[in-house]
Amino acid sequence: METFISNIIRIMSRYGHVFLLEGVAYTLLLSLIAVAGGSVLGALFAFGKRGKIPPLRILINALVEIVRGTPLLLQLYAGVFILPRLIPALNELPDIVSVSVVLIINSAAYVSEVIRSGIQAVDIGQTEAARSLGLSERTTMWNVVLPQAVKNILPALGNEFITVIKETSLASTFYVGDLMTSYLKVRGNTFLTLECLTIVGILYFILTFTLSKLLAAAERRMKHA
Amino acid sequence: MKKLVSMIMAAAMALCLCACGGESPDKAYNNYLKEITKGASTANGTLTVALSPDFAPMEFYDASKKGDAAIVGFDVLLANFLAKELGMKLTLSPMSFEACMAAVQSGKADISISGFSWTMERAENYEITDWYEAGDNETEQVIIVKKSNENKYTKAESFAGMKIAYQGSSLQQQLVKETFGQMSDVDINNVYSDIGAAVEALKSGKVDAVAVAKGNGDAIIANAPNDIAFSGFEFDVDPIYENNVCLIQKGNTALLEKVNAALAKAKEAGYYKVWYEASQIYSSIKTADELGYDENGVKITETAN
Repeated sequence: METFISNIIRIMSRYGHVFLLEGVAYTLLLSLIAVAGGSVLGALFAFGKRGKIPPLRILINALVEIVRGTPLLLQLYAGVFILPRLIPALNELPDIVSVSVVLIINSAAYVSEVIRSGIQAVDIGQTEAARSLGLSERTTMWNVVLPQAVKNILPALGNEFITVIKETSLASTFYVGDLMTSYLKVRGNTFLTLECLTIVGILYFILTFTLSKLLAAAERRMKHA
Repeated sequence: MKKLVSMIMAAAMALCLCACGGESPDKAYNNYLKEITKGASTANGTLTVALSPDFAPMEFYDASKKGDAAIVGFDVLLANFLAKELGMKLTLSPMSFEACMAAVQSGKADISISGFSWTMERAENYEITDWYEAGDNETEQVIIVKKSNENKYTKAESFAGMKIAYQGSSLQQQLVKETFGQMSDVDINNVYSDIGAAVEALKSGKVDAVAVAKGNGDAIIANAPNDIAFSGFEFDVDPIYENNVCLIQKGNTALLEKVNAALAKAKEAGYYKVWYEASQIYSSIKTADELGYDENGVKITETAN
């Protein structure tokens, strides 16, 4: 136990910046990109699924099912090795771009389901009442259903954000620089697996715990509104 | 909460400060790198090299540097040499060992230089270059054990009743199976996805021994001198496995020929030995003193090593 702790201190004094500056920064960056892009695209997916254009509906449904039905690691391989064949311009860009695209699509698929279930959870009577009062379909959606749906959606969306932070770790397969990449780099030099894993484990926990506390605070404010 | 945050920040800043100090074991390495890249032209386009930088001293990270310059080691010197000989600009593409093979196969990388050993299956699916010799990293294949068992084992029979671990789909897996497969009292069903996990299993006593390449063993022991030591046993290695090769996409014989010509040149010039020494010093496996380099990274004496 003593060597374990002294090893961690030794690793942190030599490679601390790899974990704290590089690893944390890239994990946060990737998560932000995935969450922001995923939310926007996920919302588009959700509305496309409810929309009136059947081919688009089928396409989105197929994409969402494929993304939810295959491992993220496999999707990352596809994104890094197959995507640049379809879009040659991607070859000029670093792998982190392909990785980000995959993370956004992956996150969008889950977010679209969160939004869909949030909208469906609003009692159908609300829509019926609004429609019989003469509100248009669009006004009903925007002014009656969505404000109530957001309250259902936010907690589940927060869960999705926390999941994304942890899932970015798979991007380390392509050494994009996230926390798990820091682990690979430092372990490659020191061959001290458990010590390095403990360090990244603590850092991941700090990130997700902080986020879940922030989300809980946001939810409390929503309740008052 | 505020106090906690400021404490963490303070600790982080203190760590950054320590991390910036320290001596630089990279002098000899940089001398060779400079020598290789001197007068390099990039007229013939880009050479993208896939490698898995988690394998000191062959390829690893220098945490004090940024970008491509942070990836260092024997294979990186070789990659620079090949790029120069081919008149191409070098781009390093770091990824996991499995992904390296997919990168070559899909054409995303032109070549993978990542401490590959020759195997029958690799030869079927890739163009394999001529071999290059990375010091004793591959030529000597050994078994490491707990420090208390240091040098107690000289023959295969001494491992009776023990559990031997190794990394999956590696050369060591093959060697362990060949050597101990017939001995019913040796447990060889201990596969790990990476060598680091196997070493942890050894430390915690889940297994009694781990098969590793000598160069890896040096690095592992350098980082855990009180826990782990060499067993005294060395595998009988078929010469075909003793050296490393590079992988190129199946069918790309034009590149294969050019690379083989460059490899022959490096071999004849005797670069491999000194590149390996410089990489060993860089990864703190050996000191400059031990290998006979002065403080400016210039070789002064011939060592027995």
